[in-house]
Amino acid sequence: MKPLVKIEHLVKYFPIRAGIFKRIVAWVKAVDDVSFDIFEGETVGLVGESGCGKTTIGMTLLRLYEPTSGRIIVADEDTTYYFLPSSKARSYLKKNYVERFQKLLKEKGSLDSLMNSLDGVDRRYAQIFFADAKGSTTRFLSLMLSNMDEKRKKFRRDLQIVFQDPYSSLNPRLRVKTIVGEGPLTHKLVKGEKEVIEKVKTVLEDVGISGEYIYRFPHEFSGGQRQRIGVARALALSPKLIIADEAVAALDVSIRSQVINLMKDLQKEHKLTYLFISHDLSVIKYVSDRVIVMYLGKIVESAPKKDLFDRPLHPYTRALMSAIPIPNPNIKKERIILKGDVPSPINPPSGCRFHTRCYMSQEICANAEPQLREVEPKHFVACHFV
Amino acid sequence: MKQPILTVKNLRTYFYTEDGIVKAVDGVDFEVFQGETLGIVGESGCGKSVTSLSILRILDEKGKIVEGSIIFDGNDLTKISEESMRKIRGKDIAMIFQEPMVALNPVFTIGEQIVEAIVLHQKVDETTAKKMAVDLLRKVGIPEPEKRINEYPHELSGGMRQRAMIAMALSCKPKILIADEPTTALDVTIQAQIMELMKQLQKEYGMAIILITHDMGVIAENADRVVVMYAGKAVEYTDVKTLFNDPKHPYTWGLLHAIPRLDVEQTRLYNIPGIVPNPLKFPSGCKFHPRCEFAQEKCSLEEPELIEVVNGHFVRCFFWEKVEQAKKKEAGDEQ
Repeated sequence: MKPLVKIEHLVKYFPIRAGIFKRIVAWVKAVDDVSFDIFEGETVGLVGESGCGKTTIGMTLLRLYEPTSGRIIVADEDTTYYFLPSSKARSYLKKNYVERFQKLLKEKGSLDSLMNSLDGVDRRYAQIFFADAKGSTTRFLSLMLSNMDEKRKKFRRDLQIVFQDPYSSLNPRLRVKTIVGEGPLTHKLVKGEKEVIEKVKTVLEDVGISGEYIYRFPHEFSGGQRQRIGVARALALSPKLIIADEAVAALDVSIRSQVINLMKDLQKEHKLTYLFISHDLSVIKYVSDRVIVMYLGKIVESAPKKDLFDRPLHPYTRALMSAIPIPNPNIKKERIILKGDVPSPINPPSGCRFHTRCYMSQEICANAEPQLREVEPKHFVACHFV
Repeated sequence: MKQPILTVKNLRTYFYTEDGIVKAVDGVDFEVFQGETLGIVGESGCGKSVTSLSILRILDEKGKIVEGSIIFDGNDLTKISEESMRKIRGKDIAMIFQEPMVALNPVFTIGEQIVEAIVLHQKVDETTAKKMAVDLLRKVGIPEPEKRINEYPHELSGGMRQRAMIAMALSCKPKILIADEPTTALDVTIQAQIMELMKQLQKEYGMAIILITHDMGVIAENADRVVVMYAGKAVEYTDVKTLFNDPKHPYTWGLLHAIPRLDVEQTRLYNIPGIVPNPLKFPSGCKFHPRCEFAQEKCSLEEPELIEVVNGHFVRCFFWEKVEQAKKKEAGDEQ
């Protein structure tokens, strides 16, 4: 299976400015060196408490934020430079590809061994550089920077998001027809009024809303219906990936199960890939194939769902799981109560970021940062004592 | 037989708005016993919060208790004077809210706010009150209480604010603590801390807790008895084990099947069709009938009463036996 999205060493820092000159006095390290893949057709659950960076990852992936560093590859294209101003895009491409390729060529000695040492997007871009551009930086850059509008549009079409709050995420002045139909029209998936109406009706009926309602305004719908409209808006562009950022968190229990079931059905019908961001482990368990647990801007554990829930290995994952109240009074479980609050991401603790609250922490935890390593097949954990 | 310290009978609280009468609470019955936790669970708009506001009589001017009684200490709280009510509020019955940031006054330090409550209800001077406040903050697990007491609400984290609010509520050793979604705004690891703290304080003070939440998990782990509310009415009322092991109202049964769970493997969540009804336009008959898979014609015409179907198990449904059949079928499917 090929990864649809590859996130490599993603870093996102937000500056904190103060004083009359608005000097940068500190950085909020929202996401700090995070790498993971999303494969076609799967649902990846991204879970963590507030401030762990899960929403920032979604926003950066969508390029609503520009990453501070790192690479975001979507469908075998490096999309990192897509939304940079052209001078920055040039220096990004020069640094990440041209200079790297030239250095590699010197190390490897021959073009063949250089090609063999690369794979995926690197290999393709090396081909463009050495074959199509014949090793010329200018030509390579102009090849890479051609058709940017099309590339950006394709990117925007392929990645869609469903937001948490169905009240503030739909424009109250627009009719459903415009809200859902705007995207397909902009991307020229449909032409003319008749086709738009046809499209919007089909998508609305896909999400369980009668096609007769296309001329209504958002306020005429209930919260659950509005969230369905939010899903319809994403779906209308036939995206490759839908990012659901706490998409069911604001809904009542009985409505939540309707929307979760709907999203699962749509995934089957339309072969969708989901990045499901949530703080709720029960929801994550129900929807995901693979789960990534984050704490303070870092991945602490990632594994296929069954492995993670049967055998959580990181002390934080275990504490998180034990903290979820179980709707069954017959079960008395051991609860791990963590000390204190989540520390601020401005000055995260040294070493392992969880060590200040961890019940297993030793001296080494404050000094050395544990790396994410594969302790069982596909089960990654960042802890010194696993 | 234990005597309840609070008995709510057939409580009805209506809001007279410009758009019409909102029957926010329309028939709720329960008892609260000393040292016990009564859980009130339901979805948004079911009237669980208005029930608690009615007990303390802190409704806004449009809201009126139109029927029923709330007996506390031999007095009917719906009938006593505002002055007597003021003596009970905060002293005998205290309350903590979902959003500590909204419930605490941002321009006073948490110390000033706790001291105010103590001085108001107990005959102590401010220095003693301040000492008591520091002790309280220590008791609810706030580190360095001597320093924290001089801080403003915004200087504390969400979990710490909730602790400060609990300290304030406990300052007069109330007989009943009403906790309205006390952990909904908090992260789960902090929620676990706060619920643990409340349990421990309940043991120590022997107070009763009325715990209002939408989270079935929080109910299962913390409540002794539970009222399930739907559209302003109590639809089921029994002890917590019976409720989860043997739910009899179709709504409770559906709700328990609609939540994603960590403790069971689920292939598909149960769909309760339709939406939570608008309180201005409640359906006729049983308020749940348009969404109920067991509904018959009778349900749309007549309103069922809350009846005791088994000893101590109250259900508001004509056809609760049908849920029994569904449960039997489900048990059969599993085997």
